[in-house]
Amino acid sequence: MTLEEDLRLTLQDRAGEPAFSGDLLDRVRLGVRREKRKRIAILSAAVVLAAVVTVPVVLVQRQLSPVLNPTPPASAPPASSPPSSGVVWEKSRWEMPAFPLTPGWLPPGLSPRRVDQIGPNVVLRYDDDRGNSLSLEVGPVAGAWEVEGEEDHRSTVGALDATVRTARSYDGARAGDRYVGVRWRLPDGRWAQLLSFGPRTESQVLRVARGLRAQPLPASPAPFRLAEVPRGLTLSFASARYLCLTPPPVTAETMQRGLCVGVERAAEPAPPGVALTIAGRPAVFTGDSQLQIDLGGKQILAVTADPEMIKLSAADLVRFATGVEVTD
Amino acid sequence: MHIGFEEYVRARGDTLRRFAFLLCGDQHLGEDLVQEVLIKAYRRWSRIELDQPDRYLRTALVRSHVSWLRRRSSGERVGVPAGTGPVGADFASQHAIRDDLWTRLGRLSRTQRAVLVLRYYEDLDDHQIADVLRCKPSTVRVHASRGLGRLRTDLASATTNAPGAAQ
Repeated sequence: MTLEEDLRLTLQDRAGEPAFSGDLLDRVRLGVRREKRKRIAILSAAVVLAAVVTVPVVLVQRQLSPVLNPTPPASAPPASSPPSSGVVWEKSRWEMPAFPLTPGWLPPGLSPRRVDQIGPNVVLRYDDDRGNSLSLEVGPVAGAWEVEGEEDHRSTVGALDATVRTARSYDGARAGDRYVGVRWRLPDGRWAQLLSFGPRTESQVLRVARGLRAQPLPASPAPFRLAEVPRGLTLSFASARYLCLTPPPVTAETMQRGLCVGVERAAEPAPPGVALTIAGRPAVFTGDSQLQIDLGGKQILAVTADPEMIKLSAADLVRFATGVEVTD
Repeated sequence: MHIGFEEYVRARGDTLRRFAFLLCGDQHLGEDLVQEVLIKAYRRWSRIELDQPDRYLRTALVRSHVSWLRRRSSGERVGVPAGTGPVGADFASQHAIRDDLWTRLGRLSRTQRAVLVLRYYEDLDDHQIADVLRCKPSTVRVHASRGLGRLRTDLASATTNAPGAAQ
């Protein structure tokens, strides 16, 4: 029996074990009453929050994003600094990463490339909507194999030893798809890893690896423009629709913790919280250091700050969010 | 209280509690999680019940469980195993293996564990799990691979160290 089969049976067995008491509904009723009392308190606090954030939101509307900020009336009053929790703001200076290597050969049928940052590593990706992807990750941390694989064997990339992992299938694979991963170390000690999900053969994937040359590929467009950011943060994660800024040093563990911005599908129904208007768009401050701004088309801009990494007040979060522009 | 909500909790409460128990590895934590999510859902029930309440609540349970906010507020330690079953005991018995597997599931990260529960208990594919966790399918694969890899390594190590294991 495989581990996966054991796991499935273990979970089914365990799910049947607990003897639940019948008081769930009573406990929920009590909780709902408590929640109502708490909500009254939150609404009172919301009056204060609105007083704090309304002025900067209205004023910054004139300065920023064409996406988040409609054209302001010409007669609007001049901007002033919003109240803050002592955060020092500065113009956003981070840059999207370039990729250090350039493929000399690529198999046919790939989608357009994109360069992302994942913690301390940089990733060159060719993804399509069907889960078919070829990605090359380079950096100080070995990339994840993503698939357990059926077999590992040794090979070479140029003069360098490499490990090749293969699997005849993976979750979401279609007929003819396979998984091939190649991992090796570059002469400067950085890890390089090439993963293929799709119809490509091992020899094709190795040909890509062996054809790489040390020539930078330009960075991809940033998913967002940020007007200003709290001082001391650095880019720790960037993909087509998500970006995080984190206090250095950036590690694999901290890369998605910090101040993060992402475009997401809107939850149905919308989460509870204090309703705001940010740059003319309806928004919700959910009370857990998260703002959700309605972008229309069932999409939201989620802005979150992990309080273990960065201390921002609600007003700070609103100030930051008001300066975010979605670029695509 | 909304009649439809009460009926739903009566009918599906245990299913939600079973799922939350698997996510948390602890019955009491699981019940707290279900209670917390249902209380939040109550206010928006008229909209939730029109859609797919099971799917909505399953997603809410997972997201709430893996969120850093709840992790902090509950004062719970991450990665602490739920219970300490026998390690390296009778590996000839499938039951013993599953006891051990359950214990070791408690040592995975919350996200790894959630991915495995969604994949092997709820039978969701990686795209559906990615929707629940708001990440890419490739990230789901990473969590699953690391979780399974750690379980496999731990179990192999326990087998090697078990009394009577071949030297």
